[in-house]
Amino acid sequence: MSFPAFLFLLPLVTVPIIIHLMSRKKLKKIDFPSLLFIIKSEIKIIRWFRLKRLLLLIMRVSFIILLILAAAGLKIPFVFVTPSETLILDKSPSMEKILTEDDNTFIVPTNSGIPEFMQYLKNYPGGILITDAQRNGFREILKEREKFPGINIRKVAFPAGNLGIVGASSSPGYGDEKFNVNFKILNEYKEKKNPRLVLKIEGKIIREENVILNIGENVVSFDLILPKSLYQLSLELEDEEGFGFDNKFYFIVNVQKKKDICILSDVYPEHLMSALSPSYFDVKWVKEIADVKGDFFFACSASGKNELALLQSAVPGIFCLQGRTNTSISNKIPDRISTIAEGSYFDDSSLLKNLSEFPVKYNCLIVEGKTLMYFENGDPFLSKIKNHLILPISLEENDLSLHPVFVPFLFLMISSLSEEITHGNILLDEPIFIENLTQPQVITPGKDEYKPYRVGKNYYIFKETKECGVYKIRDGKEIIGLVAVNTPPSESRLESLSPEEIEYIFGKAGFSNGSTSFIVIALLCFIFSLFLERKM
Amino acid sequence: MELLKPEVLEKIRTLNLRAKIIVKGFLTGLHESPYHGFSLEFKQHRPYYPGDPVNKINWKLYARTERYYLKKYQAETNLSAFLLLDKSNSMKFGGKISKFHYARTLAASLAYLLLRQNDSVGLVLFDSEIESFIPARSQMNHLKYLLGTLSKNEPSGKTSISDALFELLPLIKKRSLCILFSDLLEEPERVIKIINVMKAKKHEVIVFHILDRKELDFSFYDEALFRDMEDSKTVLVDPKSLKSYYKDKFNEFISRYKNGFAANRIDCFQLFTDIPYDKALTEYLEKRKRLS
Repeated sequence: MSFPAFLFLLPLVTVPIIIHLMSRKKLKKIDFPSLLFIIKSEIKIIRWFRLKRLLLLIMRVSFIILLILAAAGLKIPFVFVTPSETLILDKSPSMEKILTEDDNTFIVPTNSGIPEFMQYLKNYPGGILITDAQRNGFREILKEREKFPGINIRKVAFPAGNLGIVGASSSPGYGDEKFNVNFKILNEYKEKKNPRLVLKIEGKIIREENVILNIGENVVSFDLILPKSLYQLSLELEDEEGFGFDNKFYFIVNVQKKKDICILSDVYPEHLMSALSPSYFDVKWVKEIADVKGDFFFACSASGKNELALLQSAVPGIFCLQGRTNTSISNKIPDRISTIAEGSYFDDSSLLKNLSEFPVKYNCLIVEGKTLMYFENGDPFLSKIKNHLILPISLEENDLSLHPVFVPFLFLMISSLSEEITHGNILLDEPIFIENLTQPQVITPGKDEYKPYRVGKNYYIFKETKECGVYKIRDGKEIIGLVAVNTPPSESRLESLSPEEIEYIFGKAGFSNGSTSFIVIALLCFIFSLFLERKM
Repeated sequence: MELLKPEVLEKIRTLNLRAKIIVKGFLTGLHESPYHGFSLEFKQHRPYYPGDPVNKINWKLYARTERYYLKKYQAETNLSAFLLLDKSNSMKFGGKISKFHYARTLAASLAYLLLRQNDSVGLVLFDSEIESFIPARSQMNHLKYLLGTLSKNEPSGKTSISDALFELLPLIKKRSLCILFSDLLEEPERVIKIINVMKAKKHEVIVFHILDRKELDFSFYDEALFRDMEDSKTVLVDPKSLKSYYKDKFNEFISRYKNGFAANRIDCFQLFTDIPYDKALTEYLEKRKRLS
């Protein structure tokens, strides 16, 4: 019920008052010889009697008012909050210089952002939180809000603007070769900003520089040369006054050695050879399957090859089926044209988006193995059988190998075959999928260890990605994977939370659920009025 | 005796008839009671003559003198009684029978009884002052006048027994028996004081304290506006919470009267409106016996 609707019910309050007045009018009149003894006793007893009548009226009126309030679903502030005792201040840069202090208030600085801020919340169960209520970081409070029922929010005006890191990407990194990491930074001020960026690898500061950020989206690149390994990167942004910002972005980079790749083809694959840049792969052309060596093979056209022999190969490979008659792994179908669906196995959405723009011609349907990607029409596009990936298309025929997305896609496929769980970058609350491990353990950024849920043979899911940071995946004693968890870009929009969102986050924390409280108090009033009636 | 219950007699509308029934019923019940012949005063002995009733012979005297003598009595005519009836508004209180009604019937009965005994009876009706004063007469036809006055008057006015009795003092010149019918809703000390003054003037005083049961036990249950019958003042009362307190106060008030009357040798009889009239008459006769 909305508040105005509840106002319409307010006249009900007059009902007990009218009853009270009418019952007084209806009182029986008794002629008595002398009020001498009554008046003597009246002083105490009659006064108490009148008080009881008044109390009864108050109880009845309160009962109705409380029921109306309960129906209106109003919320009431917690009474035990003592605002003058503690002031917990969101001192993130977005708050800029909106700091006030008076004699009765302790200001708790939260220089290290939300984690430290949360610690202060634990120490002060009652207090006022002054914040601009931006999305960043408030997820922590959102998750923990039940623990801070005494925190009362005071929202200050939204500041002039803000800065925040909303995404990161990197080019493939190979051992001791230069590669770059790109961070996307949003400047929501109405002017250029010159913040300080601090890039850390494994917690150590690698770069520290001031950058000029234009209004809107900016991409800041860092060139790195690192030996072959998995690395945890984090980029922190400090504003001009030097306050620590609560938007810290984590990123995992896998620096590996170049892959030796064999292209298995009857004829020299001219397009492919030119497409596969030497900077990504060391490429060889072989005609026979027996000649395949190295990390990986790519059969751009498996026609004329024994597909079972290909599947038996110890070297992982990708091969394209085309124009095949029905076999154990594919069925021949009339020519079809479809595009590739987004949201398949691979999570590089930008790559998939580019791929999905192509209509692709295919004439066989893969019927075996695990489908990793689909066409828009639902047919399998990419399937995995053992350690091989199978495509139902001809790269040459579809001119896919000429397209700029081909090489990253091939790289993605190769990575998926060789290092499936070594690293990843996911968003908060997304699960971590773990495959082919016998005793997986997940170590959270807070150093807590959890065993992921087993959902199939050698397949696990870890759902508790509740804090930003780097999660480590361990198999036995060995760390075999890293996953960076960041807030979703939608939460880095750097805009103030709406009143509804604030109510959602702090509604249960700073305010009690009015309806329940009102009903409980109304019941107490009702019981008390019954008690009074009995005594009357 | 069942016939003498107030609720039974209430059915007889005429006060005259009611009074007669009460007195006759009462006397019938007495039979051989020791009160017989109290209204005659011994004068002298006279010798027995044949034809005189044998049972009148004074055998004790015969034992001493060996002669027959009869006692010779003279009817007592010099007892003057005044019925003082409180007719204030508070006497209106009561259920089926109001206190005033009860007192009026009782007064009428006593008037009849007294006149039957050749006593002279007067009547005083008062509230805070004397409303009616009828001098004492001993003729039987005086009864009609008395009862007519009693019937015509209805309760009104405020109670002030002391003021009314004070006003009465100069009006009763002869030594008299004053029978007061009232609910005595006045400060006991004031009432006792004026009765003592009356006694000092050689008057005998009997007080019939007329009460209704409800006054004593305060048997009300629902909250109500209680209105003072004399000054119309109202007050909201919760009887349940007030009851015990009221009863304490009222009993204390009654006790003050009882103690005061006992200390001053004033005869007082508490009568509730549901008590048969004969009991009240008995009380009177006890007193009358002492007087004779």
